[in-house]
Amino acid sequence: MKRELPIAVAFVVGVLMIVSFFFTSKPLSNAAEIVQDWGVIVSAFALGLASVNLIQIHAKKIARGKGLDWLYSGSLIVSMIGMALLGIIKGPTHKTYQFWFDALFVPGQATVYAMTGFFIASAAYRAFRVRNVDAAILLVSAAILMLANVPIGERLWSQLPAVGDWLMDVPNLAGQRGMLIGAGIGGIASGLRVLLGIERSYLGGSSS
Amino acid sequence: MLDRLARMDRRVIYAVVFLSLSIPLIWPIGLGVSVGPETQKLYDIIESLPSGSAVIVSMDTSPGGYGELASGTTALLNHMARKGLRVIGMGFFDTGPSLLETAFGGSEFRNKEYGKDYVNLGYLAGGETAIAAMARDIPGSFPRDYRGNVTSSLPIMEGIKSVRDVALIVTISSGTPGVPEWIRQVGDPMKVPIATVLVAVNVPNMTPYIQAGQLKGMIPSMKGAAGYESLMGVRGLGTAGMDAQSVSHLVILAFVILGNVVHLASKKPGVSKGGVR
Repeated sequence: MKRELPIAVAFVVGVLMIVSFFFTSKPLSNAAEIVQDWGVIVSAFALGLASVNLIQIHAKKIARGKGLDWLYSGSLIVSMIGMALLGIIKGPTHKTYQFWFDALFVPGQATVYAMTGFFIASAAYRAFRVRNVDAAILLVSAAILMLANVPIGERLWSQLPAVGDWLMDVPNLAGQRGMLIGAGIGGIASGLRVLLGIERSYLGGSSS
Repeated sequence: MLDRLARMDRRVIYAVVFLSLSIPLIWPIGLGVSVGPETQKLYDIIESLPSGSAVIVSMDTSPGGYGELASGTTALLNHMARKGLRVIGMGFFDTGPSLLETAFGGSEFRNKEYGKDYVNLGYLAGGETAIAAMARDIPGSFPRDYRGNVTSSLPIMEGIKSVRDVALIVTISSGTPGVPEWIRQVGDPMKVPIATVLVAVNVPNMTPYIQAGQLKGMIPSMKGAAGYESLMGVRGLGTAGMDAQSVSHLVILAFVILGNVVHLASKKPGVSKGGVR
């Protein structure tokens, strides 16, 4: 029953959502709306569960006391519980809560994201080599698009933005559309596998 | 010489990229910006909306992506404020509502009345499912706003039940849920126009949606923000950033060319192979 029941629930819910999408029926759409609301509620509970899981994992790391792990894990737990308490007691729009968000969290995460620019520059110098015709096409396309997307490109050659637009609207569009259609078909196949109980990886353990 | 170039310390590259970004920000070159067709379309849509129209701005990004999207978001919100549009803010990323507070505070909405001209409804967990649930019942999905007010009692929500009652939805997007999810659950089935402020790395993925007319307009990253600012006749962070982006792109291209020259030259006998340490 531990495996059969979740598969049966997934089948009933999945079929209900598909049928309500394609057919107009008040009872069906009402049922689908209720299931959607349940989805939102379950997601909210999942957030709480994830927080408990995160605390458990990092509490173990602190207990192990290996290297500097305990310090990083301790910082995570203190800041997580601290911000949660601040949000619950004072409210998420309180200026202290918003201050920590704006002054610590936003610049911290933005810095990590921005650092990829530096790594890309270093990696491009090291690895972006014209070893064959494919690599040459990639390099030329990348160079055109990099320059076409900044004002200096237009200053260098007035037609560069038009060439960049062509690259985006023809070869890129064809590739992207192909991938979208492929992913869509893959999604249908994967959905059918879940509905029919062939794909069971969401239950944990092996996939079939 | 070639050997030294081949073994160039990566910190040299970091320093040159840092200087190429920071110097034009401190001393702008003023290269000027062109306006892309998608940006022009979004500007025209906002211009065509009558004063008092309700629009949804969904902050579907984390602070990492927002650094790139802030200039476009600010320009867009300023335009909406000047047009007298009612902005219903929400987020399907957990950090969305706090970023919305930052965005409203940094735009001309800070001089407008909360609850009447703009509102922050907060975060709804569940990704694509949550978008679908919200679309059919906005006050039901957000019974209270981010500040704890009863949503249905706010003047801005007058006449707003579902997304069919809003004129436009703009997702400030850097991931999932983002543009495809909004189009799947709201844009196509409910016939509500969707537009986006988008990080540059996702722009190529959006071209099929733009070409098919499913995405009505777009502010692509800082370039789009600079274009939007020029349409509004202002010089903001987007315009300032384009000089830095121009120089940094040239610098990265120069490094790529240099790397290839060194690579080809080091193939010759007698020159040692190298790499970046």
